[in-house]
Amino acid sequence: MTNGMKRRNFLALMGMSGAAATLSCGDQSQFEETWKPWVHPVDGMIPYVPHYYATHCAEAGDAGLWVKVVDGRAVKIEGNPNHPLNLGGLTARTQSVIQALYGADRVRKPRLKNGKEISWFEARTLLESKLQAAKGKNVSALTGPMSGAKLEVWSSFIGSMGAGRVTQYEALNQAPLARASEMVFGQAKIPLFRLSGADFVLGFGAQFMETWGAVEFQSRGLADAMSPSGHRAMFVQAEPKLTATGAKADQWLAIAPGSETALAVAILHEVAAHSEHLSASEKAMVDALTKDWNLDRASQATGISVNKLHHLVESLGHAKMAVAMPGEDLSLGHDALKHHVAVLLLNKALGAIGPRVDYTHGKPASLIPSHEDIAGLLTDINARKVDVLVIKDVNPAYSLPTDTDFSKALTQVGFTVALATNDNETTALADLVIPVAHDLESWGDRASYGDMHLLQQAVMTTRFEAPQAEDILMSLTNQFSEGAFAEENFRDYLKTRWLAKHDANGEGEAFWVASLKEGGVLTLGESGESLAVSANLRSDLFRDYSPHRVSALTLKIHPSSRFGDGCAANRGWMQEIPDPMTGVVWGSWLEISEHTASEYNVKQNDLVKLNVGNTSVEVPIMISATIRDGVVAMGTGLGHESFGAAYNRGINAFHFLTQTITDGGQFTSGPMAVSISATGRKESIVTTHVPGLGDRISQPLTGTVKGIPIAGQPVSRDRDVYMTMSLADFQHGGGDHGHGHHSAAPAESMFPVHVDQNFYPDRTDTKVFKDREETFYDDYKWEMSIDLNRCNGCGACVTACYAENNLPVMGRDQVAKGREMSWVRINRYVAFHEEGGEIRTEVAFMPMMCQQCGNAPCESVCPSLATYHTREGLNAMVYNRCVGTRYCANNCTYKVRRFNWFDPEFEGDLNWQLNPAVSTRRRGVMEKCTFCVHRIREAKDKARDENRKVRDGEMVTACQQACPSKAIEFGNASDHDSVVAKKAHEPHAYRSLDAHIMTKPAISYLKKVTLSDQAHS
Amino acid sequence: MKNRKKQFGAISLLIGLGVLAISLTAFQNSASPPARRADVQFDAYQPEQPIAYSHKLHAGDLGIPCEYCHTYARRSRTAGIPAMEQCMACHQILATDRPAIQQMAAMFEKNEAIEWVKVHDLPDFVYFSHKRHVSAGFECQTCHGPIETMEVVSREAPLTMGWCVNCHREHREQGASLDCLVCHK
Repeated sequence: MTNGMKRRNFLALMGMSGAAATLSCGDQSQFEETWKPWVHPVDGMIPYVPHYYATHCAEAGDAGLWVKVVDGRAVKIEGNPNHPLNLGGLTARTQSVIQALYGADRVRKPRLKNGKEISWFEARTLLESKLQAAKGKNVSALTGPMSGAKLEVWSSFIGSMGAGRVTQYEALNQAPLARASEMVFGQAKIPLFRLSGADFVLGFGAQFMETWGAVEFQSRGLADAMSPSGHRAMFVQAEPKLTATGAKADQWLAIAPGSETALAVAILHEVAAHSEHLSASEKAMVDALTKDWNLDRASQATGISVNKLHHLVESLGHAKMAVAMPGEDLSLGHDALKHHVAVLLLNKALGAIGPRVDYTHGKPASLIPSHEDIAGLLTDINARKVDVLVIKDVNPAYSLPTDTDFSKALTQVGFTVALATNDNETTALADLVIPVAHDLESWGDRASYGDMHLLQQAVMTTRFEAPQAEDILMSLTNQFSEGAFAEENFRDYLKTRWLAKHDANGEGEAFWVASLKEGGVLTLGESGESLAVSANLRSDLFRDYSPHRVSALTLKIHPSSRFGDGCAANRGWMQEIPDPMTGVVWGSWLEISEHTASEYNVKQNDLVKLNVGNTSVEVPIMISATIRDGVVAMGTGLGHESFGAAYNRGINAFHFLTQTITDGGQFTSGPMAVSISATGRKESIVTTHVPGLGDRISQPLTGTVKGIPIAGQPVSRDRDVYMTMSLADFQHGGGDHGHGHHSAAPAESMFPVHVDQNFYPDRTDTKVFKDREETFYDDYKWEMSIDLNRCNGCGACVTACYAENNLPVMGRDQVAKGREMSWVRINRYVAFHEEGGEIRTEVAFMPMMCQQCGNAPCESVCPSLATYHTREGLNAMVYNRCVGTRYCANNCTYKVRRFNWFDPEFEGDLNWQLNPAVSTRRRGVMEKCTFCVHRIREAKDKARDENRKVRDGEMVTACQQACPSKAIEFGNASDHDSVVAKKAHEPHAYRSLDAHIMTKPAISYLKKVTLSDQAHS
Repeated sequence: MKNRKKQFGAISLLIGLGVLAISLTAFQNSASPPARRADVQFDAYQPEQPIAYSHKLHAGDLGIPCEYCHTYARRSRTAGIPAMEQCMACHQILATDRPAIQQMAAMFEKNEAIEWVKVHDLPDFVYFSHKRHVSAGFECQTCHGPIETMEVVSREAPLTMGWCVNCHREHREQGASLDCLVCHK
């Protein structure tokens, strides 16, 4: 390309020949696009203008939803910002419910067991005849957790049919806590854990920021409590395998599996002795209960030194507002009830009952089905007592312990009908499968914490003409006992019931509309009242208690935040979003410590045979630094058989449970003695973390010495992608940060003063840089701030980004090649500090997306100017200008650009979910985070309509919107009063790597403030 | 599937190299100077519509304002095509003897929509907002041509990027932006 031919001329010529090729293709009619208008316009509906509907769905737990609907199609699930528990935040899994709505596994037509599809009429006739024959006998129902008007309809249907009953089943539930509450305080409730006011949080293993309880509320609460600008609570988590929840802890106690209860009882004994919050009689009672227990015994059981435990109890004693979080039910096994009693008493002794463990605003225990219910149903079935079984959206064939032999039991039922939205292991066993409306297409209501009642409304027309299950039941009930329901459909019935229950002032229709808009009755009081310990608490509860010890290798099963009880395993987003701790996607793994692995002579990716009782499975090994020696761990939710080749992967951990029911009301899990043996084969685990490569906090990025000493300021020690600082430094106004970050910069300057000159040449005096002083930016300079103190790596932001920006799911093989398309990744760092002869583990999460650099390395290398800096501070990416050289990705410091190696594929009807405001990129195009530029466009559009500027807080990015712990802020940094500008000037704000290479990122991170002195700045 | 894609990718790469070779040869020979943008012809695109609707009659002769039917123009990205109910509001009574109206009425009875062919269709990677342009005071005719004179609508403007940018450049004072991200989504 000599002869004076310039790079741009060459490209222009290339473009021209492409254009010529297109023009010669023929006439334009091949590009013809047609448009069908509405026959009857829908009131208030404008094409492309989104509507948000407040609703609820079973998988959301107690969180409220806002579903974005464009042109009659649901396109995104967000949290309801008016809901007091989640305030707009939403877990990754709940966001993925929309993939179930459009997924390939939706049941589309009624069908028989042999797979033969039948007409709606035939299905109805068949069902009616079976019910007619069973009338007066036993017609039973098996559903997921259900309450309110839905439960009433199910009960009247079953009641009208004869002697059956409605059984509810939930694989992962909080039944032991509900029972313990009844025993200790006489409250049949699940308390609301208000962590935000705490100054000390002691966790026994519950994954309360992933799966356990009101996850969003607890995540936000802990983030508030641990905020360094408040009183900076200390968080200690005791668990054998560090979970993502435990990763947030200041101290991880790697206790022996099964010793959670011993630890809780011993700590209770110590704390109660000096507690001011117990009455004399309560003190005596607790003392009598726990007198056999002390820290020495606990130390023996847990394997944690007595000193450490003494120190812990001492810290608890100093704390004014401490709270204890119980253990994870899957780990507790037969100890579940005892453990929860001990933890509740501990909370009582700590003075937490009321302000932090709030029973006044608790959730009724009636909402939580225990496993005894389904065991009872199985007994009835096995005694051939059930003639017709109606199953609705629950998958016991997958999640029941194998020894219950559910599939064999079902053959004892005269006729099984599944009212199903999605195919699964259970629908495969049903004699008749009838498609019903998805949760987002259905109506319903549900009681929740306090006096809150959530209202569920259909956000779109049902697909496949599938009616809501309750509508089918109402019509059947009316047929068999005439006049049972006066209302024509379930929506009307719900409305009548809703108004009767909640419309105290008789406003009628207006109240109904207001409830729909709000998402229900959403008022939640501030704080609860303390309760006295019930007098009839058994005094011999812990007398003969000895912890469940497993001397051999121990298996710990933990609920997966991505798959839960398994219903999310056929959703591409959940498979492709990495596990927070190991980064594993698309599959199961057996987590094991390095030491134990070498003991058993197994290596990373070795396929081993895992023997649990009579079952044995083959699973690959994942070596981990965050698990206790002698323990192996596995998550739930995978190992399906009916989701098709792409999703039938991994191991079903529920199969290791046994059908004996604990006194906590759950199938027995707990620590299990297992053995592993190498098979000699390998199965590579796909992980987005590369162990040992850049995942250690203290590992320098390069070998160079960073920082030039400035008088009076210490030299920076290592890399500054991720930074922490000690609480002492924070309280002294920033202290040790050698690069002269914001606090050292003149107040009026946007950017820190750079002192480092050894990576890239200082471009301060070059023309490009001069043009990009503050004046470069017009009215807006969009910036983000991410508080690393609040982030817990849950992945909600990643999922929100998938949903918002039409990111394709690539599949296991492509992710293995590093071709995942996720625009946000969550970096996980670990560090190990030697303190007092022991190793302290520190884990940190950092959401990493395009930093929208003011001095971007990617822009200068783009030959086609597809990426450039806008006057609003965005690093723009014009997709259709991109020719796919990938120079930008090579040059990107943060490795946040993604290349489309293929045209995106959206299986099933998942393309219905695509956001019309964002292009779907084609093969050969680079893409990356754009700070949700289409949302910026919408916000500016609205502001322009009203002839004003965009207000602070008005423009919210998708990741910010979804974050349950509110770690992300976004706004206009040119406005010095904006939240984001203020955060950027906090003493602990820094811009990742900026001090070295002067990329001038638009994202300011707030350093994680640690209680230890060993901070990384 | 992915394998086929790989093959396809390899083939397209070969074709691409071929095109590259040809274009390089063309450049070296300089036999025919490369065509300039202005030379590229944009035919007046005039697709056949399922129903012979006349804008000349409605907007021209009868003088019905554009936004009377295209009600979304000031409220959305798209101007929209009126719902059939809106057509029937008049045509329940008016001109019911004409075949086109009868055809439409029959479809309306059956709850079927007419499948109109888009005349002005922008690529999917372009964001264009009718609302912004209408509220800035532009006449519909600026982009759509003298629609009130057209028996069958044809595309008057090329709707190319250069054409958009030129107008934006002329209206910078009024707030039109030249930033790529204003239109590219």
